[in-house]
Amino acid sequence: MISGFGILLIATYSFGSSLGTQSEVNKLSTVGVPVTSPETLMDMNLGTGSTVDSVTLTFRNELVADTSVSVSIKDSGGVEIGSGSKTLSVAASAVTVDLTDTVTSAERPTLTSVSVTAQ
Amino acid sequence: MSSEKIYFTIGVAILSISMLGLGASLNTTPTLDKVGADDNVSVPASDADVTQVTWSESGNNITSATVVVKNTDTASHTYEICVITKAGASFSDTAGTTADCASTGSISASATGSAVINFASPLAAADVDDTDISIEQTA
Repeated sequence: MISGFGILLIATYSFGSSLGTQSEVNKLSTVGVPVTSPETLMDMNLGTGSTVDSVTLTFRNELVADTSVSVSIKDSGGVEIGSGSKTLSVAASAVTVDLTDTVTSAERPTLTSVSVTAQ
Repeated sequence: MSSEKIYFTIGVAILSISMLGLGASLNTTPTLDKVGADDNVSVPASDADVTQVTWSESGNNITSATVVVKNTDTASHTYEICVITKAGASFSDTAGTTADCASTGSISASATGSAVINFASPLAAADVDDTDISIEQTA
């Protein structure tokens, strides 16, 4: 009876060891594109380079002249890693915003959000 | 009192005491030993940069999005891209259902590839104001 009780006690403990190697799941990234604009954004082009120096935006309809188009690029921590703005001299649906704060090659993989504002 | 009665009384007392839960309140929060694993689990970012997103319109509705990604690794990879777009209070898909996703197919190192994600629920083109894209490296 005593040996049986002893076995019962030992069996109630769970013996486990930590994983020796890092377990991994599939790599996963996300990118958000929030837009505040009187016209719907139809195309956003960041370019294929290792850096982002400009962003080309195409809207569904022309934005009126004097519209200020701004782009704010952030990483997963919400830190801004790129930004720029352009004021339209004439009405246009395609706008290329040159970034005054460019996204460097080191920052590029962390790009998580591209906020577009046109007003 | 007879000895039998004494034994009975003592037995009942023992039985009563053993049925009571005599315990003190815990002063500290109990923690469990980690079993079979530790904090050594990671979800690294995919080796893909989103380079372009194009929304397609059909009959005043946004019906799909084409996402172009660049493979930034030195080996070929395949990516599963999912998109959810919002137009005011409406979404391009219904919560609890399968996400709107599409695979890029194998993309060579430093090359670009794309996937067209068709929306389960087309959105009014004039109201689209937010898009969330996920890129899962599946191979």
